[in-house]
Amino acid sequence: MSGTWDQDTAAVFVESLFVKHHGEIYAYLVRMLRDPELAADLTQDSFIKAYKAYASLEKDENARAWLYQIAHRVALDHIRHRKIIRMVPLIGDAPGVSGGSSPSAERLAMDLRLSGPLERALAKIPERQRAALLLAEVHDLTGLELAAALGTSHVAARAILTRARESLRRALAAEKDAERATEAERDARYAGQSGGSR
Amino acid sequence: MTLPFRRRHHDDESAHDRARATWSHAMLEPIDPAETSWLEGHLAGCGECRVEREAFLEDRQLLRSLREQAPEPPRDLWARTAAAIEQESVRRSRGVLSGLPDRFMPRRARLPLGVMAGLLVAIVVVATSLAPRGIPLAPGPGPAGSAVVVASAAPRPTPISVRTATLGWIQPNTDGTYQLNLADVEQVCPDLTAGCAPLKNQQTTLKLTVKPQSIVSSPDNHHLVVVGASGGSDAGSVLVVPVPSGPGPSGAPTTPPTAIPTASPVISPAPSADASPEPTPSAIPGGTPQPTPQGATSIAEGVMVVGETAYSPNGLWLAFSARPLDGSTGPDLYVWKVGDTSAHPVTSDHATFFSGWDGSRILASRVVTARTGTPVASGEPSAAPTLPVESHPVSFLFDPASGLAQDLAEPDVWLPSVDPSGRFSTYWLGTVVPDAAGTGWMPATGRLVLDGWTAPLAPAGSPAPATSAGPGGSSMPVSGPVVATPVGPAGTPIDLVAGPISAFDARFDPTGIRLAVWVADSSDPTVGTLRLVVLDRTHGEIAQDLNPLPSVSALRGFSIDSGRLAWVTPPGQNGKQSVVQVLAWSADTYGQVETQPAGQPFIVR
Repeated sequence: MSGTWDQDTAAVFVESLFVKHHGEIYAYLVRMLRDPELAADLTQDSFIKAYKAYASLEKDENARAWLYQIAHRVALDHIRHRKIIRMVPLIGDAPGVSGGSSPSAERLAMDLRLSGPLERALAKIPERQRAALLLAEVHDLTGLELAAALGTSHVAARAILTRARESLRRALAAEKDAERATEAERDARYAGQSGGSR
Repeated sequence: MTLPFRRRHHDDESAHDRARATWSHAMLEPIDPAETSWLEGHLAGCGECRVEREAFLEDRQLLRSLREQAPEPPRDLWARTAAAIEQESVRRSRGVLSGLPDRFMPRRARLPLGVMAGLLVAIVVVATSLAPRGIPLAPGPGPAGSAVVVASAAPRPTPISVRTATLGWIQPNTDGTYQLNLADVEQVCPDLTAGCAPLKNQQTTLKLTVKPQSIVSSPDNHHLVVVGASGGSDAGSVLVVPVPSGPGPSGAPTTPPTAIPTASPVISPAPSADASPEPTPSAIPGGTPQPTPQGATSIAEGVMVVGETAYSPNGLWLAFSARPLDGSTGPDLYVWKVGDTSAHPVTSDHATFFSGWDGSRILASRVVTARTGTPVASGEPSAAPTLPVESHPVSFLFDPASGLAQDLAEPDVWLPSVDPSGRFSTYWLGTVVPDAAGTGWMPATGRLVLDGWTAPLAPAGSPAPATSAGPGGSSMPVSGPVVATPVGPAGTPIDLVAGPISAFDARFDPTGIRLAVWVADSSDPTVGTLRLVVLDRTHGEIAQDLNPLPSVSALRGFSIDSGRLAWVTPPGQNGKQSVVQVLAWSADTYGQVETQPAGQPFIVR
């Protein structure tokens, strides 16, 4: 069907989608990728893909979920690509690659240290589960919309979401344990320093 | 995973898994009642599950807290996206490289974002500066890749999403009818010249037999009050017109709402120049209203409305001031209760000017005495040349339901306007003089100010006897002032405009923190300058750092409502006909949008 639709209609439609949803799509991508510049880049990509795939949208009322589906795929594609790129230094440096839009491992590590327990926990759970949690709880998608956005069945989407909740709970618990351990270590070090100074 | 053979404890685990899946499902959307019952039963017997479920709910609350931290997208995002879409569109239309996979296509990401954004901004600036003003940057008939196409591909700034009250305006058709346009302003542009957000409106033909002087919408947007201009066969009428429900030509008359009468006598003020009190209004002989097309109904005839017309905030009342069409007397205050047969005057001093509403009470002004202390006869400006020039105005509050009136404590307050929250006010502080036409008054010595406001609720007790003098010393069908608590401006006035000025119109938006101020040009009272003043929410001071509309040329009759200010530009600006321009906002972000040029649009207030 590509190429059979009216390009002006598609452009106007995508523009209206942009006005209504670009903020939440951008926010979703920031939360998924933890990189505002990259999220802006991928938001742009998402709307371009929406323009290209306009003919695949069956009903206008499904446009929001459809847009999330596109953004979700764009995000996952990028994450997979990023994982591949991260492997490159093992076999040789690739000039220019690490300086692109993907954040460096050091930057990601820094982000992890600086963000709160929730963000760190989210970053540690599988991408698809993270997406399910964000889409359902932060972006308020319904069950059917979530299924559409994740590109799966309603039942499967619910299962992913349940596993995501479990993963998040474990990750948050681990974060709290880590915080407690850090505090205990700091206290012990302080106690040791205090004892030594006497 | 469900196995076909499981031991007993696996069945227990399966129940817990099912419970976990069920409450997770229930957190997403409503679930089957049978599942709910099962879950409740399971939780009742499983303390560990209850703890786990609570933990899930806590995590959910934590996740939802992220909603409050929505990151702000970069402002050039639309520019970048639009340019990329345009590029894709051109690629498709040319069919160039269509057989190549995407990896061979030139990628936007090859350039750093900052460089890309800078280039696009530069393209915007160059394209907009080269393009003739008012001509859309659309692909022209020239060859592909020409300058016109480059201009069409020029990225536009990211539109600002806004949510505003419905905007309405009418334009005359060539067949004598009027086209009613209703638009929900959903997006505006940071820069009006960029034209990134065309105003999308619904059009409906409105058949009027009267040339409008002004048009006001009811708060529920179901009716329009059309104030007839002085010229034409149906001049001097005030019509209530149902808003046509659908777009497109609508020739068939619509049924008027039951609340609006269709065949009752219309009340008009006494046409006599006699200044004596007229306790009851008189009906125009043979003044049976003639329903006009589209179910319009006249609520007043033979009058010339002076100044503003406005519904009460609750939509139950309409108030305006009007004088006889022949100009034999000055104006009186008229009130129409929605559902009544007609509007009727509530003053008879022929010198009362409607100013606005303060909650459920009408604000009005009148001229009481000349500077010398001599009463101005009947308040008739026609008699003014023989009297001292400058006179002192007095303003008052009038409750149309109870008939109670109360003068403002502050003297020399002319045409006050109070913000809907009742905290702030704006008014002319000073004297007034008869206008050039001799039918009204205009500011003289003084200044237009912003002030605080205090207005305790009107007393609920019985009104005082009507023997006390009403506003202007004339009798009114209302009681005299009986409320001891002073009402009116309260604070230190801040100058908005220094006099002398010939006319002004100043009104607040529903939040009370934005004030639109229009001041007439000295040479032409129908044209003036409009600006938007933003107030500090706490102290009511003018926020000097926020100046979203410093000063624009505008015809008289702007509309300010939730999220937007709309006005009509004077014809001839930049060689164009008049357009409706809209300044809309979301918090402290402002943008503009305008209609296509068209002859003589009227803003619906």
